[in-house]
Amino acid sequence: MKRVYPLEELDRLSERIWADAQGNIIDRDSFDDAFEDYIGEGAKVTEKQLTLLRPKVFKRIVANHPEISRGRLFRKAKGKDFARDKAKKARVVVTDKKEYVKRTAPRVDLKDYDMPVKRRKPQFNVLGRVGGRVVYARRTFVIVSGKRRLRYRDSKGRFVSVKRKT
Amino acid sequence: MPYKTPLKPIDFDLIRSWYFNLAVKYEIIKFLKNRELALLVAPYVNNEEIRKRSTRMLRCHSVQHMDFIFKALEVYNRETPYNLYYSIARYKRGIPMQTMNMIERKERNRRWIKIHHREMQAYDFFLDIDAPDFNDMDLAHYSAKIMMNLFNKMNTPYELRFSGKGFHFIIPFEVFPIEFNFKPFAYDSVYFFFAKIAKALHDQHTEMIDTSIYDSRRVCKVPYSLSLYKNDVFVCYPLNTKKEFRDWTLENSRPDKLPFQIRGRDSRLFNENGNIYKLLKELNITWE
Repeated sequence: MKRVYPLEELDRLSERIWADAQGNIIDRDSFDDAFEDYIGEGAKVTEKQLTLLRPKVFKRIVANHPEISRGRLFRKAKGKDFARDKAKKARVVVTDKKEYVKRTAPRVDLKDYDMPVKRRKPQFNVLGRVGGRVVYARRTFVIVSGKRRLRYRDSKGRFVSVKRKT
Repeated sequence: MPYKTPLKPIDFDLIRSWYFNLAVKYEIIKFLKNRELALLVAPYVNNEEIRKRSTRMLRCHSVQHMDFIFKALEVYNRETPYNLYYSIARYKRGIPMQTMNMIERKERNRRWIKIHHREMQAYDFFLDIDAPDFNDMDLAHYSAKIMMNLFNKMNTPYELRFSGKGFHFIIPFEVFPIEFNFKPFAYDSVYFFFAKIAKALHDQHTEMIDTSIYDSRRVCKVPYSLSLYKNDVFVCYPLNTKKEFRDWTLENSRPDKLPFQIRGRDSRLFNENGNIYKLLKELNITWE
């Protein structure tokens, strides 16, 4: 869960979102996606605060990077849900923005823009171990010998060993 | 062993006696030279009036400075549950001298915050392994073990600390033979590069690493300070040997249960003759 600070810490929040995005903010749509990804689900902040925060953070980032477009490339390319589109890998990857708009976002991916990225979904909230790593896992159920058993899987679908808390 | 929340709230006399201890103060100020000190109200406090007492931009280069700050903020009189933090950034001449004139102080600090990166001399790599709950501390310990094994294998210099609800790794700035830009938002900034390293470690080794913390005014817990929780208190302290890390327990991290003497303890740099190249190669990270 990401920490969100009061408005006077806006510069710091903007810096962190920028560093977290690793250069993948090129327009307003990609910024919104990076912002949502950073803040995450379950953050201690209201919808109203997020609505106020979003444009202020964007303004600070654009002030330092005028090459970032204030327009919305994904929307222009007839995209609907950026996060969902990003999770899907298209067969064709283009490098030109004009071609991306022409062939539309649901059909092609734009390199370094709406390519699939690893994200932690809110239901991955249990810590466990798999293959010598510590990971966040989610609860799933499997049928073993005709009976429903609780198991845990990580974001790659691997079974995770979770210690029971007594 | 499962964590059991103590029944009574923390006793402020315990905090008072800890910070009255000269040996503790002498160890604390070693980490504060040319860095910013921040006294931030512990996160469990919901009262807005108390939360407003959080104070950053404190300059503390001696034990006397520390006593003065604690007195000026009425830490003991008002029994404010502060956690002590210091800036990851180190400045050429420290942060500006502070005044008790609040209006002037606010204006002066506002100007400083805009240009502080120009005065930066160093910015250490800080890795934060955070447990969401005290019952996950065994996994945090295991994550720290994974990192320790990796850094030892790659001969990477590092310091290791227990932070209260997790572990911190510090790789000193001097280990990186790179001309970093301290300007926030720059593509070649140190924060951008360190976020890249943290993400690689997060993806390849442990998801308990917090990758969202890299900004120019980041602070972290001061070693040998107290980490305060609603009904519990732990000492944030460096783990100076492999045995100390192996034998670490939450129980022995309470101020009255520490298994060592604080005086002259300092913080050990593991692999002090090592370098960063092997680690970056292992993580497939290049500096362009």
